[in-house]
Amino acid sequence: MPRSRFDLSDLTPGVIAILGVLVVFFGLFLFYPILHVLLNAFYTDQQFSVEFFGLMLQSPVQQRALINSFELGIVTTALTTIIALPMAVALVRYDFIGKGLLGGLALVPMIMPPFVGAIGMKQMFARFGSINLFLLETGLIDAPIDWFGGGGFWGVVILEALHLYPIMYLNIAAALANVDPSLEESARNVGAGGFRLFRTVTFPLMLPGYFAGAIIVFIWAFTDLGTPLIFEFREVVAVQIFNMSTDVHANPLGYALVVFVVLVTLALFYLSKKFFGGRHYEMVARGHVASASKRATSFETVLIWGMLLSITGIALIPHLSVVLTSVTERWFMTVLPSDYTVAYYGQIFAHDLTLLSIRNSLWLSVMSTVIDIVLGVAIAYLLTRRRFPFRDALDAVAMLPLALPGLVLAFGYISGFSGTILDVRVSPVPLLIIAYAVRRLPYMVRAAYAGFQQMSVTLEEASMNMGAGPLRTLWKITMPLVLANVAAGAILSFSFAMLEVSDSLILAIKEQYYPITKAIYSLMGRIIDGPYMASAMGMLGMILLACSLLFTGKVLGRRMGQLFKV
Amino acid sequence: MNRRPVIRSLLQGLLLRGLLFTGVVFHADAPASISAQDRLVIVSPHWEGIRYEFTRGFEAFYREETGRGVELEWMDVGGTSEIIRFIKSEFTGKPEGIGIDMMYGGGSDPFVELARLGLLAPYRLPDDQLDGLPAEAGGYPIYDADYRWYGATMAGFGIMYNKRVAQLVELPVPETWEDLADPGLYSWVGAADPRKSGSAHVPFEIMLQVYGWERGWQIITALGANARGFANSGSQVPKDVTSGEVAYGMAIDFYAWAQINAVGPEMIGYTMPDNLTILNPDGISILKGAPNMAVAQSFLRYVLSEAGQRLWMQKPGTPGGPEQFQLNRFTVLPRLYQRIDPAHTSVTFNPFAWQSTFVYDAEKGAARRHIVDDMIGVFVIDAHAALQRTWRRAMETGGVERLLPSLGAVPITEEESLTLGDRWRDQAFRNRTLLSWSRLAAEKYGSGGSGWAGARYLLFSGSGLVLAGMVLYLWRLKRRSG
Amino acid sequence: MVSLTLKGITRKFGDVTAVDDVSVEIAGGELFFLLGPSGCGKTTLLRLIAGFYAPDAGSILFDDKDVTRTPPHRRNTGMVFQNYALWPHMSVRENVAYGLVLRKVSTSEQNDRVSEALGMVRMDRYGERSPNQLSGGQQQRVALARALVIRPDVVLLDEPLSNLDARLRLEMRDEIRRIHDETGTTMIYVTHDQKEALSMADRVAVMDMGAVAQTGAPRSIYDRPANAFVADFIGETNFVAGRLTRSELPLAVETAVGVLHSTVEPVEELSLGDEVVCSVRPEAIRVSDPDADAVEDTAPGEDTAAREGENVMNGVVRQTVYLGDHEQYSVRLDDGTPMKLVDHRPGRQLAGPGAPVRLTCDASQVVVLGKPG
Repeated sequence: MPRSRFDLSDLTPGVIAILGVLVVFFGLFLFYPILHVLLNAFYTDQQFSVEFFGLMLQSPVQQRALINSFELGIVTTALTTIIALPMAVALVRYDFIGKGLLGGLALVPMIMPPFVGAIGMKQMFARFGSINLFLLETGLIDAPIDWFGGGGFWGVVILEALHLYPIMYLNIAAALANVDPSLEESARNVGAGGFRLFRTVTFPLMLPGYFAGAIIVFIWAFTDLGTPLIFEFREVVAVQIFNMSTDVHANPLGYALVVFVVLVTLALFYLSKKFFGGRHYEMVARGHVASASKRATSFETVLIWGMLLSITGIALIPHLSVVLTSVTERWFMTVLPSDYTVAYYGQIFAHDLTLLSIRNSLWLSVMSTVIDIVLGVAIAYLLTRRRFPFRDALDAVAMLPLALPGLVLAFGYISGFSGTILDVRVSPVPLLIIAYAVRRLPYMVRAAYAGFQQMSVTLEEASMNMGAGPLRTLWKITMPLVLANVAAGAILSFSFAMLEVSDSLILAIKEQYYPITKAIYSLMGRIIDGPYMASAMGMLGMILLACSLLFTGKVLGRRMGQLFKV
Repeated sequence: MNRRPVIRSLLQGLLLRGLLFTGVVFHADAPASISAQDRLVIVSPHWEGIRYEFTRGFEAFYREETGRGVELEWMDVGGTSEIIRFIKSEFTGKPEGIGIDMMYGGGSDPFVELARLGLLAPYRLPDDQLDGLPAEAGGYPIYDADYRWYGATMAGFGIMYNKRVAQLVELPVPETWEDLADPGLYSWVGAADPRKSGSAHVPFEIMLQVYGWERGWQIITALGANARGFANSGSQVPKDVTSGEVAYGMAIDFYAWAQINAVGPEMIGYTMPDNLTILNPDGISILKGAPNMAVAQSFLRYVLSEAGQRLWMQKPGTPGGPEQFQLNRFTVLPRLYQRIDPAHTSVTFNPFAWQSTFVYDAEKGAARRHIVDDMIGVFVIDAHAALQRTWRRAMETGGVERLLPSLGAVPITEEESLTLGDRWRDQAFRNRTLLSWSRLAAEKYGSGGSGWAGARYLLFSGSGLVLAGMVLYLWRLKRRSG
Repeated sequence: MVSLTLKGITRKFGDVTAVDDVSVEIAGGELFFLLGPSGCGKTTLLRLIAGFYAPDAGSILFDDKDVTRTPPHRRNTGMVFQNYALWPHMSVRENVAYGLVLRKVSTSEQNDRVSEALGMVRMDRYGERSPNQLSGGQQQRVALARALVIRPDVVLLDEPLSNLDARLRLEMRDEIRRIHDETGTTMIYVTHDQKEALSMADRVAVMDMGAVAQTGAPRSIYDRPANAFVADFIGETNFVAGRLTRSELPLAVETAVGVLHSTVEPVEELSLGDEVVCSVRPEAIRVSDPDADAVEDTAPGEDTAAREGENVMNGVVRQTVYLGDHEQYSVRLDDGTPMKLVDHRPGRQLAGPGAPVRLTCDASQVVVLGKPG
């Protein structure tokens, strides 16, 4: 039987128009700035040089960095899967007391405000940080444990896993929620149970969602900069790129590395598509919702609580220490601060920067998320529902921003649009929004993609058949049905836009445009109370983000509930 | 059904708020363009307190000088290296001027670099001001001989240490840079990457000048082997010392003093090794094609005036001092050290009264700066893991002193380091050399394993197997269903 | 009542030709069936009519209007999908009203017509339910109501009963037939179930490998299949291979079990000496004890077929299955050809397994067909 796809409308004027918009958007805001930076970098002595690629590949340092990054990606992906899978199963398939709370809590580690997270980690895990001091005082150890030093790689893996598992959890939960329970029931009927059921039925059915998450986690871990920097684990690609691009004497080798990482990412992406692509698990029309959850027995409840609390508990240690830091009057080599104060919160609110930056961040993130939703849904729609030339290329391009360091993109924007109406000197707002949107687009595309893939095409065909044009079908039928997935993608896009660091630091050049991240950075610069003020501001950001998550959850009501099981 | 109105009102709300936001965000530009001639655009990595105090002070100064108000626009494009890159990239497009008047802060090297590129506009201060300004301190020029940049303040380099930690793990109190090379301090030393932090570079150059090229490299190598890691910013090191992650760190004076102020001198100590350190100016300059040249010159006069310089030293609220923030930095006007009431300042140290036998060769330092940074980068920082392994092994067998000459050997002589600088601008040549150096480093420290601990190896192959299994399983499924 | 004309429709998917030069005329108000095994192209043809695919060649006409290039939402067809495709985020009423809202029908008329449509499928009490809360049969009715309520030019049904259990299927057949008769709408119904087609259709097109093998009323297709594929696919039949020895009526075919005669005009063109098969329906065969029959019916040695228009074959009973109202026999002819037959008076057991039997059938019940390629 031929794949049921529209094709009368393949390459209709509408599709061509959308493709046109996408080509212009990516051309202008992705390829042009990147090429601008790369060509400038490789243009030495009046000629274009590709020698840097050869030098990069020969360098033992870069070789090791590439291997390490690859390892990091694999191990982190595996570890997040191990953490997130039972979590998602527990939260989607079981009903128990406090489910909403735990479901919400599971997402909090994702919202780690930058810079201050690192402060928190150091405060806790330094050799004379709280944890070691506690262990020393209780006599459990007699010499401080070297958390950061000995375990460079381990530390990075564990912290990344603890930071990234919510992404995996969100995707797996969305996928699980969309698996038609009747399929599982019928499998149970023919005698498949327990693990076998999971392996043979549930798992294959939730694969598209799982891979949406796994690809993001892998690429994230592969290109993550923040975590290795905390641990000073330099032998990874992202840190190498960062080092070279922040080198006072700008080293173009870093850009060669960027090109390489982009190629590696695209290759991996392509391979995973080759292997896992083309698999369509459409949900049966009637099986969209009502994923069967069953009451957990009291034993299971205890088990689930134990598992979820211990995972989130560990993942939230840095956040906890940020909370503590933000109310610290004095904290020097003691387990807990010796004096507390709420003065920083007072100062924060007295500060012009605070409200301004909150307003800016909300506005910038909302706008960029709107752009992401529009573009992401359009791309995912085209990818899953239409056939057109270079479809794989579009897919890859949409994923490409994941592999691009924000720093490189931001420099591209600054230099590429200097002197145009988009010059950051005129107003950085448009470029900030676009930068956020471009950087976070992959989350949206993958989430929407999984949604479209799981939704039966006949639901849309039925609408067309009833006389609805493609647009109205999209609006009335498709969108409501992929809303859960789109919401998941939007939440990720929004949250990470709020936490966006590198482009904010570089693009938001005047105080009136500072987003929260740059405000935090700026407060960190305060010599004496910097960390405390920054922590207080970071807390504010975290609370804000948590509130917007909850708010979204409330507004989307039931549908969100299917996702988070709140 | 009853969800609908909620969503609708939410959407309306969002739309309304969005419009409101746009209005506010875009209108925020408007006032800036009202009085164009009395504006000053400054790009600066300085922290908020410095900006605040100098804005306030200059507004008063300018009103007095001209009778007009002035608006300062501080631009922030990140740290010093981002600023330099930003300025350079802007000038490639607009060689006549980039619409920015001044650069303020970032140490001295960026200014030397920008001056070399001809991107700074010279301005000679009035004679009476210039007379009060010494030409150099400890061998380091305080302002450019061609008046393209001036030191607005100075930074001193020394060793900050955590007394509690030193006591708990029974470590000595350091007195010189050399002390930090003592294998007993292994893993307790904090440092920053000189490739990324201008301030981190200075102590290393001092070591090379004080101890000589060969011994200097041995000390740098040993100190690097002792180092916990290499932070990206000079300000991270004092934080790590305070948190107890390291016991010692090379730090700029005011960062250290800030930490001492916060936790107390009985906990944190700071020492500037006698005769072994310098004070480095922290610059200010007018950029080429400054649109508000007269205002910029006025600002320069203000910063180097007594009124401006008092802001660095005095406590907030003292007469003539800053309003809110304590900046705790040195003035470049020697006479102020006498004039400021000791009760009005926490800066007790007068760098100009400081007798140092060490004279810093600024020319030498500038000529080989990139080379030295890259050498430290390749031989110490990039190869840190291997270096540490070798170092630990030597410590166990007690052969540290015997090993040091070979560990600290570098492939170029001091003379070569001075001539190589010119060729360094050819990035291809630079990277070719770096590659050969990094191979040399691998040889020197032995490539003995790339740090793959057994367990990690196991974990990796385990994860790989699981993923490979998954791929295989999926492939089978796909073949079956396809 | 819109008539449909398909002219030379061809549609390829890559290298596979799903629909191969199909031409069909469907009269207004007809309940027309597309019947065939899975993969024969019948669903593709239906989707071509709905507009979800564009044909590579050929044209589609609704009455005189060429809709070949008209997008699906402008064709005014009402489709019932195999999986019903009810929108899970809308109530039953909303599902049904959707098409009316799009047609800008006034609210009061919407209400009336939705109620009418739901009434017609007997789902008027379930309007506020969500599709998830309905059984398969109920969903199927809602899908039908949704397709009917817009008063489409043609209703397209894609295996609408395949997800229902046997009882419901029977019930729904009558329902759909009734609704067709009530509304008088042209309907095209895709199925692989020949019983559905035979019991409901005005006319049937049997499809095989992308092409229409035969079009006609159920009775004519069953009685006079055009080829071996149709004979085999529609109902059950027995094939006896042979060679054509007489090409005028009555035809004569020489087989391993004797000469068989047929008085049915073949649809295909056959010439003397062709390899052919004789199709004999199980219910057309009578069975008797060879000895008893000899006494009862015919005298031995006579050319019974020529005289009485009857063919005779001998074989051995392999198996019998008693089914209450009838009994099935599996017989092996002397040359090994398996035959199935049905006896509708199972009150008397004719012969048990192993017993030799004589099979007779009227020459008017034997259809001679070309040997399938």
